[in-house]
Order: sequence, then C-alpha cells, then structure tokens
Amino acid sequence: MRLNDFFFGIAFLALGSGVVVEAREFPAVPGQLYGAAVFPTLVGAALVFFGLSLCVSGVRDFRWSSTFLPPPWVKFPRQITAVLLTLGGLLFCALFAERLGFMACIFVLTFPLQLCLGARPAHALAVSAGTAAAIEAGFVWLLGAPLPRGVVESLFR
Amino acid sequence: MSAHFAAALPLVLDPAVLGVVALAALLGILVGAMPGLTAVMGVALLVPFTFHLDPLPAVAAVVTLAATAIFAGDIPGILLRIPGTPASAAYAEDGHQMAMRGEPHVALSLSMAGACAGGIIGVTVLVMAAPALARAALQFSSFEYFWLALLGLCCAALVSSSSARKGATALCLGLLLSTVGLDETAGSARFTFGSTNLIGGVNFIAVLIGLFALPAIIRGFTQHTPAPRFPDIPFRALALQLRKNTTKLKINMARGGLLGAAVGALPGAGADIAAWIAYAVSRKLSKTPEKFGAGGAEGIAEAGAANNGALSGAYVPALVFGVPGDSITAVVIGVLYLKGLQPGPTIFLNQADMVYAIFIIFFLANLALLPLGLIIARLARRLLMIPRAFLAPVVLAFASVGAYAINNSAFDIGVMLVAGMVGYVLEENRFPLAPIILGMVLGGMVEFNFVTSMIKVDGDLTAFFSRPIAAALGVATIAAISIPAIRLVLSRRG
Repeated sequence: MRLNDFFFGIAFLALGSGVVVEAREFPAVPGQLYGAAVFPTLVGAALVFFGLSLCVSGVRDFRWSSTFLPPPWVKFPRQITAVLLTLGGLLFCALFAERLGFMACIFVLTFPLQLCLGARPAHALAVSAGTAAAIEAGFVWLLGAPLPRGVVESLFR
Repeated sequence: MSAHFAAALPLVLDPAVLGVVALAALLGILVGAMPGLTAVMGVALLVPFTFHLDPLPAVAAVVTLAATAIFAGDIPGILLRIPGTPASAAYAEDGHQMAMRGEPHVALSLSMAGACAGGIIGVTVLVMAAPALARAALQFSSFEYFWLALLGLCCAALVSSSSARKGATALCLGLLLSTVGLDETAGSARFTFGSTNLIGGVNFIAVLIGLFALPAIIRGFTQHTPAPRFPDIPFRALALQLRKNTTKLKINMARGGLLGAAVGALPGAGADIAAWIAYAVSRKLSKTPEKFGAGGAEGIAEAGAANNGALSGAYVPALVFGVPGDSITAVVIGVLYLKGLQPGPTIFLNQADMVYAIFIIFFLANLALLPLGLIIARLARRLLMIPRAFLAPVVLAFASVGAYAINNSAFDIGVMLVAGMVGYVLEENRFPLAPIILGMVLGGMVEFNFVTSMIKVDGDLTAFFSRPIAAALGVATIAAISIPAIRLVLSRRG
C-alpha cells in the first residue's frame, strides 16, 4: 500500500502537535526547570519538523497516479480473506485469550487461516493441534509461563 | 583476561546452558532457512522464552539464534535465489549462479566457511576491543552518555534507510513510544490516557514482534514465489569443498570478518550493510571482478564472513556503552536489563564472568556453524518444502503467545497487532523499522542523561561541550546530522 508522503507528513504533524500540547500538562518537578515535559516536547517538535518536511517532499513529488496505490493482494479475494483472518484472529486473541485460554485461541487463529491458504482440513487440524501442544509444552511445562487454559482447564486437572 | 575466561568456562559448560544453545541453534537454522523469516524476527519470537530462563542461557539463546539464522539465510539464497535474511542478499545471485552450474555444495561450503571465519574474527575483535573501551568509558559522565546515545540514534536513522527524513521520523516515533508511562525523573504518568496497562510503558518486545513478524507473515502469503526446485547436496563433496575453500580464500574471509566487525560496531549499520560493503570491497580488490554476480567464489566468502563478523561487532557498543549497534543488540540490551544486568562499562567490573561467558558462547555458536551447516545442507530440501499454508499460521500463533507471555497480559497482543499494522504500512512506504526499536530502547537513556545534565548545569547548554570526550562526541553528532542535510541542500542547488 503506497501513499504519497504528504499524507504521512500530515499524520506526523498532527501527532507531533498533539504530543507538544499534551506535554504542557505534565507536572513540573518542584524547584527544577527541567521535568517530565522536556523530552516529549522536544520529540513532539521533531515530529512536527519531519512531518512538515514530508509534506513538502510529498507536494514536490505529487502525481495523481501515485497518490494512493493499493497493495497488489487486494485483487485476490483469498489473500484479502487471509489478511483479515490474520488481523481478526489476533484481535480475537487479544480480547478472549484470558477467558477462553490459548489452546482455543490458537485454533481460532490458525485453523481457518490454513484452510484459506489452501491446506486440507485434516492437515490443518493436525498442525493447529500440534502448535497448541508445542506451545503448552514449551511455555507452560518447560518454562513455567502461566498461560491461561480457559475452556480446556478441566482437561489438565 | 585468561583468568576471566577460566572463571566463565564452568558457567558455559552447564548442561542447561549448552542445551539452550543447541535448541537456539536449531531454531536459528530453521528461521534463517525459511525465506521471509528474518534473524530479527526469530530473536523477537525467542525473547518471551528467555524471560523464564536464567541470565546466561537467556543471552546465549539470543546470541546463538542470531548467528545461526544469519548463516542459514544463505541456504535459500543459494538454492532458490530467495535470500533467507536481508544480510544474504548481497551474494545470493553469485551463490545461485554457482548452484545452477551444478555446484551447490561449493556455494554452501563457501558460505559456511565464511560465516564461521567471520564470526570467529568478529568475536576476537569483540574480546580485544570491548574491555579496553570499557576501561576508558568508566570516566564517562551523563554528558558523554547523552552524546553517545544521540550519536547512535542519529547514525541508526541515517544509515538504515535511503531516506534520512524517513529514518529520522521513524526514530522520533520510537523515542515518543519510550516516553509512555511513568517518568523516571518526576514519577508522573505520561501519555497513559488513564490506562493502567500503559503505566509501565509500551512493551518494546510486543512492538518488536509486531513490527518484524506481522508484516513478514502477511508478505509471506501475499507474495507469489515460484515452487522450490533444487538439487540434492552430497555430504562428502560438501565437506571436501569446505576444507579446500577455507585454505584458498582465507584472505577474503579474514578481510570480510574484520570489515564486518568494524561496520557492525557502528550504531545502525547491521549485518546487511556490512555484507554489501564487503562485497563491493572484494570486487574492487579482486583480480577477476567480472566473476562477481556470475557465480564468483570471492564475493560469497568475503561478504558471508562480513555478515557474521558484523553480528559480533555490534556487541561492542552494546556491552561497553549500552548503545545497540542494530535491532538484535537492542533486544539483547533489553534482555540484559530484564535479567538485572546493566550493560555499560561497569558490567566488565561487576559481572565480568558473565561477560566472558557470553564471549565463549559467541565462539561456540560460530564454531557450531560448521557441523550444523553440514547437517542442514542435507536437510535443506525437506526444510524448504514446508508449505506457506502451515508456516505462516504457526509463526502467527507463536508471535501472539510470545507477546502475551512477556507480561501475561492480553493487552500486549493488542500492542503487537497495532505495531504490526503500523509497521506494515510504514515498511510498504519505505520507512525503516529498526530506528523505531532503537528509539524505544535508547529513548530512556537519552532522556535521563539529558535531563540529569540540564539539572546539573542549570540549563547551560555549553556544558555539554565542556569535557573533551563529550565535546568530540557532540561535534561528531552534530556532523552526523548536519552533513547529510548540507549535502541535500547543495545537491538541490547544483
């Protein structure tokens, strides 16, 4: 996905301005001139500067034909689905990993994506199960990381 | 020095440490040999595992994985003309041309010998240079550290991208992320927007996994690559070539290793830049420059040595000053802090055994490339045939669990997702991602030393140039920033 630098410039300009404004609210250290606001203000100002610079270069190189170029995969429905399944699967994990547990989430994350990428259902099921087992063995048993088991907790009692 | 090595050796010979090194080496080979999976991505996925390990095996795992992944990146480059890591791109064409002539074993032996020799030379440079520099660095104050960190950041932004403007913008983004959470000097919450998840700051490992793994996964199944076809590699022929080429091209390997170590020690210039420079130098000094790009042996040996030499060189500023040379050493610095080890000159005084143990691990990891390389060359055929339909979802699963396991927080999976989407868009538009990570790692150091210095001298900026080394570093930093800007202005006028 290609965008003209002008749009990135606007985004960084807005971000830098927001940072400078927000940093003014940070409390000062009593008796000191330099506190929590100094560094974010400098970084915000730098973002404003580079944002402006990107705007200028974007305007200079501006061509209507290259203002927005979508990624090549948007022409292929299967690839769009795969990208959406990837992002949606991660969102699902972020929202439900602690409630449903990682074993269930790994199936949601990997099984439909494998099918979408052309794997056979039996193979996809085996790979999902193998991945879940490897993660349980590696993280929980070997390293002692407390990954939530959620809906399959009863299987481990 | 020998006393330190003697004290460190028992730490390394612990079966648990050796076991971790062996596992990390296998994982590194796997990551490097898979086109699209980079060494940085492998390290990012490994870090959550290291959280649950003792300090030495944790650092050993990262060191070993990076060394083996960089070497293994040559395998698909030679057999398929698809470099496994960006560092292998410089000589992938030569290796592939050689493989197409029916000599894949010669190309693989050159890459293996180069990687091993370059790695050993790089570690030797590290062992010689780091303690000496550390003794000098003991005299440093907040002024010197401020300039050193700033110089590192500027070089990272300028070197890592064809556009200094985009590199600098990415760096600012990383610095901004480093300010999120509780401020060290005043203890006030910044940019947390009332979220308790952000009080401790944005988790840089979650950002790292998102930035480097998610775009690679998406590209993995959205880019069309031809079905792999490659010949079988005879084991005996490979071993014989290894011996022959090591003797024949020892000068190239030595030069590549030294150049790689020197380039790697520069902040921001990683193994990929070192490989390109070594390839160019080799061509310039070669008696047969016409063979470069057409299956010549010298370029593979020299640039391959520079690759692994740079990996070791990058640890010089990382260990001595706490300033990372590249994304991988940025992660190592993060791991060292998390394990209660403070990178910087005092680490050579307070935890010398640990540092020398890390040096021994470096030697081991690079020596292990030879037997591992011989085995993996035989298995390459099977490894490269793993379908993308299985690989991408498995990597995705490990990435999400890895992001969660750092703080046992699902919030970090969200951080990874957002970082991944931002990283994909930025990378597609030629913004480099490494400065974001370096900014996140060094932001705290820059801010702390800047604010501390300003408080000490009551805002007098001339004090930043009052000490000789600080003044020299300050001038170097200003030159690093201003020279490209002046060149840009002059080129526009001309």
